[in-house]
Parts: sequence; structure tokens; C-alpha cells
Amino acid sequence: MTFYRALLTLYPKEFRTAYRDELCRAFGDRTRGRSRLAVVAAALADVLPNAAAARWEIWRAGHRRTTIVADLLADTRFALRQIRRAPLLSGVIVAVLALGIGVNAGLLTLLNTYVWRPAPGIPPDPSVARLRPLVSRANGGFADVGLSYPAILDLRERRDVFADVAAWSSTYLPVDLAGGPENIIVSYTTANFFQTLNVSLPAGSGFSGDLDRSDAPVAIIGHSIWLTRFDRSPDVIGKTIRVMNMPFTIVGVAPPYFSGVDITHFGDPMIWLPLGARARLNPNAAGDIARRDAATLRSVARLAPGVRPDSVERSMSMLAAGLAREASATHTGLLIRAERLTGYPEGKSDRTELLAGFLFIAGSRRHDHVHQRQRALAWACSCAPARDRRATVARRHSAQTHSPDVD
Amino acid sequence: MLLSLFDGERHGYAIIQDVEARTGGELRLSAGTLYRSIARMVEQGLIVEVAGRVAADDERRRYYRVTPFGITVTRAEMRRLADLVRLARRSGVTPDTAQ
Repeated sequence: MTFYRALLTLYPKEFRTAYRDELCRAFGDRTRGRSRLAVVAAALADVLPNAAAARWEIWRAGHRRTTIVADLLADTRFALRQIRRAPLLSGVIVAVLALGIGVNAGLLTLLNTYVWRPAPGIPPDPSVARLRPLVSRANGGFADVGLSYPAILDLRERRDVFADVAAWSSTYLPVDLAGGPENIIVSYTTANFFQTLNVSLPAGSGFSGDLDRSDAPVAIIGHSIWLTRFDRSPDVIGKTIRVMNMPFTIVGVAPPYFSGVDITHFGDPMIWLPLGARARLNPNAAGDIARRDAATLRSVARLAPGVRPDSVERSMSMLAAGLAREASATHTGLLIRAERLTGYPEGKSDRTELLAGFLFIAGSRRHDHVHQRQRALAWACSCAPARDRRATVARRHSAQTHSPDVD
Repeated sequence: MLLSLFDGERHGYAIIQDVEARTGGELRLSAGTLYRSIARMVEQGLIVEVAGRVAADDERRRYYRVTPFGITVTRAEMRRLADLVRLARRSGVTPDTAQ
């Protein structure tokens, strides 16, 4: 019995403490009258396997709590068995989940790429801000308005706020890229437009010097035009394209995906002309460069060091009041705000059109088919509220006549 | 062991003897096997130790009895085994043909 009692130390302590006396008593009863050798053998046969089993059970119970992987595998096996039992229902559930996750991931990716970050082709830079001239509406809201070129010059004078200010306006014009005239987005920009956005050109030197007042016939073409119409040839610089049947010399190529400050024209073939070329192409706009009431320009600025976008409105209050007096018919109560540069177009209250635009971008990444864009716009029109639909159709119609700006 | 306790409260060695008798000597539980099983069944609530019961031959012996939950589990296990045997018989399987 002493040998058996000694062997009991192999059991786990809790078990040994609880059942030591009972074990000894039962073992003594079972082996009563046997030889000493038989008792030793019986003790070994009893204790060794049972002590090992008791310790194994305790070890397994302790590890069961931490074996997350094993539990996950068991859950996975159970889920697969359930799926096998009801394949149709499981298929529907999986399809709905996959669709939901896919749509969410796709939309968030698009929003991140095209809306929350600067538009494609523009490197993120916190010192670059979009300027939003706003006037009060009768209903208490604000409406975006344009600025005149003299007003842009006034803004540039404020070196304490702006390191530089660039401006642009866009329209559709017939452009001949050697394959016959086609309606293409033409953006009139100040000479410092690409530099202000910190956008470097993969080919050509771009606009140099003060081209704002010059009608020099030079152009920067979009990257998609360079790829599809000029086979990415480095010899494109110096070649001629015709805008409204007037020759313009190519002096630069925009970087891939760049379509301006926002995503309004993303995916469209575009060219950029100096601001002064507008007078050359549209005689009715010949004097606009000097007129303070020709407020058609949108603007973007590089803020002076240490200036935050939310402090611009206060800094510009006196200047804005002066600009409002000069164009009292359209700019009463003018405010000039600065906002972080994103690809989201300012003043777009019609989210449906924007969403349709995202879906268009997702479904088609082609850059050289204007009719696809028109299809997308038609779809956007069909989705938009009637008021905005009418406005969009009117804008499209006027764009086809090549005269007014599109934004 | 549960069947053994169906007849009444027993201490450990009495359970060993009863199991041996019920199985015609085919199953002889060792002390370690018995008390590991008792510990597990107490933990699962199938049996409980009877407080205050004193054996005539040795007052230090501990007695156990089956709980209502243990009775339910025993009956469920009996039904399961009975169903299994019935299914086997319907299929024409007997202990002699099971090979």
C-alpha cells in the first residue's frame, strides 16, 4: 500500500487531494489476499495509465480555451456542412454578401481615388487650395460664382496670403487632331496653372512666360490624346493641331489621368490653351481679359507659408468687399473661401449625377470616346431630379454650340 | 456505473463489485479508473456525494447517488442504444452477422 500511495503522486494534485483515501481503500479491497508482486503490478497497471489520462484531460481542458485556431476550424467545418445542406439559400446569401462587399469596396475606392484625394494626376499638397468665391442666395445658402482676370491679379497681389493663384475656364470646341474635327474639352488656363498645382509634364515645357494676355497659338494636350493620336511619340512637341480651324503648336503633354483640378472631365480627351487664346478663338470675348464684370474664371491657389485654408476668408474680406462693389450686379456679399483640394467638384449639389459619374468611371476607363461621356451624361440626366436634369441638358446643348464655358 | 447507482447509494468499492457482477466479471474497474469516472460525473452533475452517510464497516467511506439529471441522461442513453439495436435488427444485423 505504501508503494501505491507513493504512486498516487503521479496524479494531478487536485484529484489526488480529493480522492487519495478512497483510492487507497478501493485498491486495498481489490488486491486483498494477493502476493506482494501482484499488488505492485496491479498498482502500476492502475496508476500509470490513469494518472497519464487525468493529466492529459487537464492539459486538454486548459488548452481548449486558447486553441482559437482549432475552434475556428471547427466552426468552418460546421459552416461548410450547413452550406452543403442548403446550397440554394447559402448561394443566395453568399452572392448578396459578395455583391454588398464588392459595391462598398468599389465605391469607397472610387471615392478615395477621385473625391477625397486631389483629382488624378495632381500630387497631394496641403498648401494647394481651391478658391471658392461665394455669394449669398435669397434662400440663405451660397452660390459659387466666377472671378474676372483682374480679380485674379488682385488676389496674386496678396503675397501675405497666396504664394500664387491660377485660374481656368473650360468649354467644348471643335479640335482637329489630324483625324477631322471633334468636340473636345478645351481649358483656358493662366500660364502658371500647372506649376501652381505642382503638376509636371512628361513631355514639353508647357506654357512659359506671361501668356495670360498673349494670344500665342500654343497648346498642351492630354495624355490620352498623346497615347491614342500620336502613339506616344516624343516628336509630338512642335506638331500642330487645329482648334476651330486655327493652328496651335503643341508645347506640352499632360501627365496620365490629369483632367484638371477636379474630376468633372475625368476620362475625357482634353487640351489646355493659354488664357489669352480665348480672345483669338472667340472674338466676342476679346476684351474679357481686362473686364472686371467678365467673371468666368475658377481659381486655385498655393497658400503662403503658414497660412491655413480656414483663415483665407477672413484675410480676404476687405478684398472681397471691393470686388463685390465692382460687380455689384452679380457679386453682392462676395466671400472668398479656400478649401482643401479634392477631386470633388465644388458647387455640385446633385449627388446623383456625381454617383452616376463614378459608375461611369468604374465601368469605362477609356479616354478617347466623347460619345461614351455623352451616354454617361444622359444617364446622369435620367437619374437626376427634373430641375437639375433641365439644367444639365441646357448646359450640354449650349456646349454643343461651342460658345459658352461648360463650368 | 450510473446503472449501479440506480439501485441506491453506493461507495466506490461497492460500485466496482456491482459492475463486475453485472458484467459477469468481464469488466473489472481499477481504483484509478473508478475515481476518475466519479470525479468527471460529479463535475457533470450526473452523481453527487451523499453527505452524512456512514458505512457500517468503515465510517470513512464516501457514498454516491445518481441525480435527477443523471437519471435523465441514463434514460436518454438507453433510448439511444435501444434505437441503435432496433435499427441493426431491422437491417438484419445480429451479433453473429456483424462481422
